[in-house]
Amino acid sequence: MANVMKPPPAKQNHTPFGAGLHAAMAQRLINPPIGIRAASWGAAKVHTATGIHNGITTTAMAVRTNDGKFQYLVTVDWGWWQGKADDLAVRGEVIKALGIEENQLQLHLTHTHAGPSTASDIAHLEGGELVGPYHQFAIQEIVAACKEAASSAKAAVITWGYGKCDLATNRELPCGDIDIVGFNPGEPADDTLTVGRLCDTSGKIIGTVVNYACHPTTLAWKNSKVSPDFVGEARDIVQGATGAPMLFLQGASGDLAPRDNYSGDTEVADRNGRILGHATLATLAKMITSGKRMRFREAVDSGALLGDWEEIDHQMSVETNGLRLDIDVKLQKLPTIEELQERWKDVDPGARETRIARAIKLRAGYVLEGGRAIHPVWIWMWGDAIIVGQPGEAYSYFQTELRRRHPDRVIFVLNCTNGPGYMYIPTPDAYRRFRYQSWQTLLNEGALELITDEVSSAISRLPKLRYE
Amino acid sequence: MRYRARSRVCRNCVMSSPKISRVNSALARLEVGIAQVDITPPVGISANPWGKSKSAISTGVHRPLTATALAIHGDRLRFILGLDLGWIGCHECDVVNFRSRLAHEVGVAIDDILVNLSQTHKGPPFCIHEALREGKEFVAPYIESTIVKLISLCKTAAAMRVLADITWEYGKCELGTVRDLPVGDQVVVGFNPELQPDDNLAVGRITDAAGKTIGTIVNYGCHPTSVGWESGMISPDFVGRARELVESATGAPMLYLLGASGNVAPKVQYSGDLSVADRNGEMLGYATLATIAKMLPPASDYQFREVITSGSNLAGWEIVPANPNQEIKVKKVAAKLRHKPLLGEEEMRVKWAPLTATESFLNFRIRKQFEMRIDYVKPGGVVEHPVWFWRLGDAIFIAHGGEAYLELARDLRARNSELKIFFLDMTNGPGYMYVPTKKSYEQNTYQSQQSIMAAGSMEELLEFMDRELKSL
Repeated sequence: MANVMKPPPAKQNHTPFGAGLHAAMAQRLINPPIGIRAASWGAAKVHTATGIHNGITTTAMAVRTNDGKFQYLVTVDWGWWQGKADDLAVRGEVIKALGIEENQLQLHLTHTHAGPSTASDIAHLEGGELVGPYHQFAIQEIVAACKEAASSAKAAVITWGYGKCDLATNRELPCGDIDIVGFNPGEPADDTLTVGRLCDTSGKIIGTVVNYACHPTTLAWKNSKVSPDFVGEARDIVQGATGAPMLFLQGASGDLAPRDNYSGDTEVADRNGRILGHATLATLAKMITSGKRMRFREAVDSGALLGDWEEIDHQMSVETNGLRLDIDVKLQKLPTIEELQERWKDVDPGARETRIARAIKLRAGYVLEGGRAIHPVWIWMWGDAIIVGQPGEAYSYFQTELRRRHPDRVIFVLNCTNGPGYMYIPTPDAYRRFRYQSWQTLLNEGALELITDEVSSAISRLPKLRYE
Repeated sequence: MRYRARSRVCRNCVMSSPKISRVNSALARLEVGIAQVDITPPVGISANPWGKSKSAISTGVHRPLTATALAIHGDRLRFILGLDLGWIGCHECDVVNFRSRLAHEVGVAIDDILVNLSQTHKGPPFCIHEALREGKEFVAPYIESTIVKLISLCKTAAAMRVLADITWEYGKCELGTVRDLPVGDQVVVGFNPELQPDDNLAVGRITDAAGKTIGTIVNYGCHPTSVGWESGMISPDFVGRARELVESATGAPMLYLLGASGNVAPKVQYSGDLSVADRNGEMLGYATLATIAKMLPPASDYQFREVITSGSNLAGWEIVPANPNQEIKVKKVAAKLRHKPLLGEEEMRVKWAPLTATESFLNFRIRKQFEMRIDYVKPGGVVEHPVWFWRLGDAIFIAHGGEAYLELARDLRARNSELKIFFLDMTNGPGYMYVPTKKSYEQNTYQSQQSIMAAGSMEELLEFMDRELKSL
C-alpha cells in the first residue's frame, strides 16, 4: 500500500543520544602485592590483604577534543583519598607524566571498600611499606593506559543511553532518633544506569562506559581479600559479552548501597555484580545500530495497518567541551585540633593520633579562612553526553536532579573524582537525622543544593548541537 | 531493643530497632515438575502469517520452537503450559480437538491446564482451518504430532515433580514500547516514541531441596513481532534468545508466559533480519538474569540483626530461613462484559470481501468470527470472559484469553503491591481478542476494531479482576 501518511513530526524520528569522536580505551591490571595495607573498615581484625578476589584494574578513555588535545577519563578500582597529598601523589604524577594540564584529567576511584590503601603516609603501619612501591607501579600503568588510549584513538561512534538496575537500595535506616548506615527497605533508590557504547566505524564495540550509583560495600571487615567489589563481576560479564574494556564510574551514591552488604563472602559481591552486569548488557541490547537513528518509513497494510520504521545513517554530534567550576561552599563549624584532642582523649592514643592525622589531611588544601572552601567540579561535554565529576560523595539527589533538569542530554555523574573535597555532600535530612555522612563531612547543610544549581546552570550554558 | 547512641552530634539521641526490621520474600513451597520439548515444525510448513508476506512457506529455522510444562500438585494435578505458537481462536481446534483431549489424556479437567501462547508471528497455525496458504499440507500432521508431544510433556513434568521452593520477584525490562502510533487521522500499529510502556517483569525461580535451580518462570508483556514478513524462517522471535541466555545460565528450562501486550511491541520490529529478534531477546534474557541475581537464597527472608560499630553505626541485616507459603487456591470466574453490535454473515461478507484476498480466506474469517462466539457471547448483549486465578504461594497467576492493553496488568499490580502478580494473556479461551482501553476505542485503533468487546470493557475487567483477586 503506497502510503504517504506520516505521524506528527514529534513522532517521526527517534534519535539516540550519541557522539562522533576520536576516542579509544585501554585497560591495565594493577593488582597489589599480597600483604599490602588494606584497612577500610573500623571493625576489621585484619588490616592487610590476604589474597585477590578479582582483578584490580585501571581503565582509561582518551577523547580528542575540538582543540586537538586529549581529555582523559580514568578509573581505578580503589576506594577514596584521605587528603589532597595522597591524591596529588598519584594524580599529580600522572598529569606530569602525560604532560597535560590538570583539567584534562578526571581521575576517578570506583570506591571499593576492599581495595589497597590510597594513603601515602602509612609506611610505618603493617603492610604500609608495600603501598609506596605499589602506587609507583600503579602510576606507571595508569600513564601507560592513558598513552595507549590516546595513541590508539580513532574515529568512534558513541551511543549514550539510560537503562535500569535494581542493585542499589537506600542505605539510611531510621533507628529511633537517628539513622544508621544500612539497607532501608522503606525508601526507594535511584535505579538509573547510564551507559555509553563506543564502536569503531565498522560498528564493532571497542569500549563500554558504565555509570551507576551504589556503594561498593558488599565486602567488609570479614573479608581480607583485595577486591573491586561488585564492579569486578559486572565488568567480567560485560567484557566477556562485548570483548572490549568496560570503564566503571561510581555515581552519586552517598545514600545508596546494595541490599546484601557488609559480607565476608566474595560470592555475595559476585551476585551483586551480576545484577549490574546483566542490567548493563540489557541496556546495550536496547541500543539501535551504531551510527543510526530511527525514522518512520511508512504505514504498511498487512492485515492491520502497521507503522514501519527504518534505521538510517545519523551524524552524531562531534562537539566537545570542558570546563571547571570552583564553587564557593560554606563549612560547618569545625572543631580545632585541640578540641579534637580533647574530644578523643579517652580513645586509645594510637587511634587518636590516626583520627587527628586524618582530620588534618581532610582539611589540608581545602578549608579556607572564613568557614568556607572551594569545591571543584569538572564538566565535560562529549556530544550529547555530559560528564560531571567531583571529589565528594554526593547524595543521589545530585544526579536525579541534574537528569531531571536536563532530559535533552545523557548525564554521567561521578563521585570520588579528582580533588580536593573528599567528603560527603548530604541532603538536609542527613543533618537533621544525625546521619554518619553529616558528621564525616566538613560541608554545611545546603552545599548539595548549591553545587547542583551551579552545575545545572553550567550545563545549560553549554552548546547543544544535537542533529535531528 | 534500645541502643546507646554513638552519635557525636547527638549524644542524647535514642537509637532503637528500625520500624521495618524484616523483609519477607515472596515465596512458595510446592510440589512441582518442569519439562520441555522441542515442537519445531518441519521446514516447508506454512509459517509466515503476515498479510504482507509473499509466501507463507517456511525456508528454515532461526531457533527451535519449544513447549514447556510446569506441573503443580496440590489437591490435584494442574499444569501451566507455555507454547512458542501464535494463536488459535477457533473453538473446534482449541477447546474440542486440543485442550479437551490434552486434559483427558493427562487425566485432569480442562480448567486444570493453562495453555499460554507466546504469540510468535513466525510459527505455523495451530488451527486446521487457518491452514490456507502454501505449506498448508504440513499443518494437520504437525498439530497432531504436537498434541501427542504435549500429552507426553505434561506426563513427564508430572512424573518429575519434587517438593520445590519458588522465589517470586519483580524486575525491570525495557524491551516493550507502546505500539499505538497516530498517523494522519488513524492510529497504526507501530512504535510510538512518546508513550511510556510498563517495564514490569515477573520472574519465578524454582529450586529443588538442594537449592539447585530446576526451572525459571518469566512473565512479560510484549508482542513477539521482531521478525516480520520478509523472513521465511520459523522463529520463537525474541523469546528464543532470551530462553537461550537464561537456560544456559541456570541450566534449567525457562517457562515463558506472555503478559499484557495488546499495545506493546519491541521498538525495532517487523524486520527481515533475525539478529533483531536476538537483540530484543537479549533485553529480556539479561533483565531476567539480573532479576534472578537480585533474589535471596531459596526460602529465605531478610532480617535486621544488630547495629554494628565500625567507624559509623552500620545496620547489620542477615538472611534468615523463611516459612514459604504452601497455599494453592484456584478459581475460574467469568466477567460479564458488554459487546459491540455483532455482524451477521451477510454483513461480514459485504464488508470484508473488498478487503480480503481470496474467497477461502474470507470464508475463514467469517467462520472464525462465529467460532469466537461459542460459549462466549451470551444473551443480553454480553460476553462471559473467563478469567483463571491461581494462587501459588505468595504469587497470583491471573490468566485470560485476551490481549489486554498494558494498563490492565499495570493497574492491577499497582493496586495489589503486596502480591506478586503474573498476568497471562493468550491463555485458554474463549475470548481470544484484544482488550483495549476506552481511549483506544476513541482513536478507532486496529485493536478496538478487532475486538468484539464494547468500549469500557477493559476498565470493567480491571475492576472485576481486582475484586476477584481480593476475594481469593
